[in-house]
Amino acid sequence: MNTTRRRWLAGAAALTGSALLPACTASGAKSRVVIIGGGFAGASCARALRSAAPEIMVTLIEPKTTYTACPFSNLVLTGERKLTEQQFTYDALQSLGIELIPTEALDVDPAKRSVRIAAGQPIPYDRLIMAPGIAIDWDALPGYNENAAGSMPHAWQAGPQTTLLRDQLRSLPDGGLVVLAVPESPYRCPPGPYERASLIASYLKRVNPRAKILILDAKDNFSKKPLFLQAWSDMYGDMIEWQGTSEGARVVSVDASTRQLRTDFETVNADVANVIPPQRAGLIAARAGVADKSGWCPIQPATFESRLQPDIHIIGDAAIANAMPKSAFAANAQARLCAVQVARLLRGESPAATKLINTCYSLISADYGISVAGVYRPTPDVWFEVEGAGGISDLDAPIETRRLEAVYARQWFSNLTTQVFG
Amino acid sequence: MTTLTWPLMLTCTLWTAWAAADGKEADSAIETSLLAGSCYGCHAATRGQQGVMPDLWQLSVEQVSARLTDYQRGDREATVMSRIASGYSEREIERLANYFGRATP
Ligand SMILES: Cc1cc2nc3c(=O)[nH]c(=O)nc-3n(C[C@H](O)[C@H](O)[C@H](O)COP(=O)(O)OP(=O)(O)OC[C@H]3O[C@@H](n4cnc5c(N)ncnc54)[C@H](O)[C@@H]3O)c2cc1C
Repeated sequence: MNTTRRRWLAGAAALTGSALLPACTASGAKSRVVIIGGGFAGASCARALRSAAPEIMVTLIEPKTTYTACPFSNLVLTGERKLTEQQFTYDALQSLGIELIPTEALDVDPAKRSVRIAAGQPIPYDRLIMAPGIAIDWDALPGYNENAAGSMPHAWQAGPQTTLLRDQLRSLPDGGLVVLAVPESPYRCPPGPYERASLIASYLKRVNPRAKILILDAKDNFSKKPLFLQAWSDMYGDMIEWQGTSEGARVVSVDASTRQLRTDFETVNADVANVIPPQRAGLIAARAGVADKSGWCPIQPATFESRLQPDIHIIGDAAIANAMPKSAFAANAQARLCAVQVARLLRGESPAATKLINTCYSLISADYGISVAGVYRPTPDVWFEVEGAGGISDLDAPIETRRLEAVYARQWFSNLTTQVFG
Repeated sequence: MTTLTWPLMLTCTLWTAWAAADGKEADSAIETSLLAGSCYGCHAATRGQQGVMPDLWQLSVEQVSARLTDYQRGDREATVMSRIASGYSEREIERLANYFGRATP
């Protein structure tokens, strides 16, 4: 009998202390790891597991046949990149022997160790890795629902939303107003909204130079703020205006029919409104019982194991990784580590410890890049940022450095997508 | 759900994870390869790939070690590497240097 089935039949009994024993692989039977979500976290983890532990059967559940990457999707807005250049398939993963189940995971039964899918039998696992990314929190911002997103796009999950925002920018009236509403932390890609404002400015400067961009922020501080503010005034003059929550700029409700945004202080009429709403872990996380009240998933730092359910690991944007930001870079780093830990746990070995890195590049224009980096260490409680390391690009760096960082940003994206999907 | 029994498991996993982390920089080969793994966020994970980021597999033990140390001290021109190298101990740099420098082609 294979291990999955044996453990599955054992049901709740297997969850007692005896489940700690490496018995599950002692028979030499194949263990099975199921991964929910084929984004940067899930796809990378599937691949890493395949190479770390060929003896483990790896199943990836992902409903979309093509993945549309968010990093660099802000360049779709400016017309530099096509949406198709953001898209990747799972062919390479399948040819590596990863089993792909092209459907949505509907529910997880942690006691039975199985995942329910729309058609077919529940899929049993020895360990489950959940990487569902984010869900837009449609209840968080009054007036903003799925319908409203059809006229005030969030474009925070790349795809049709991205091209909708691009097309709206293309038909912005001469001298029109673009408003970006930015939520409180945590959310996917902390510097993303500001990169977006920058690249929209680089586009409008060319085609609609009298246009204005207003950022209504629910925070007072944001990632790489001094670098963004400096570059904005150097490159875009007064085209971009940023207002923080102390100035009453937090957006409290929107009206999609009039494209109005109400803040603590005033009502703003936008020609184009990019509303980046509050987010939480992909919905399957709450259904599986691995999300807490915050909407995100608490984990054991070293192994990414859920603090709420056994035998489930959460990686990528959905996880609470403390100092590590919700980025594709971090998702990939977490995925590679989680793969090794899961393989070790299934072999009855103890988890290994390591530091992880994150580097988030932002483009201010096509050839002007800045970055924020960090080195992280797991403690029993949190992913902790190593002091004395990390930080943002030098404020006084020469223009050559900015150009080089833009080149590195592009190379990073190409390396990452090749590593994960190529 | 077996919410009563599983905190025990958590405690155990946590314990082993922390025991490993607490050995500060445990020396096992797996941990060295994990340490090196964090470089692959930008650098190629395999030898001989083209790109603007340096191919770490081409560097000798001395080169990796000298570069990382120079980045740490600010003695080498950097975009992001000085900020990253500063997060690693002397011992970790030595392990990285040996890992990449001694890898067989
Ligand atoms: C505009 C923008 C710019 C960005 N730029 C950068 C950048 O420059 N650098 C960077 O590092 N990061 C960047 N990011 C962040 C990056 O996109 C995310 O951090 C990254 O995508 C997280 O990966 P993930 O795998 O956790 O989630 P995702 O990439 O969202 O993948 C989740 C996957 O899970 C699937 N899924 C969800 N629910 C289920 C279910 N029930 N069953 C099966 N499958 C399911 C989804 O279909 C999806 O494919 C940017 C984000 C945005 C929005």
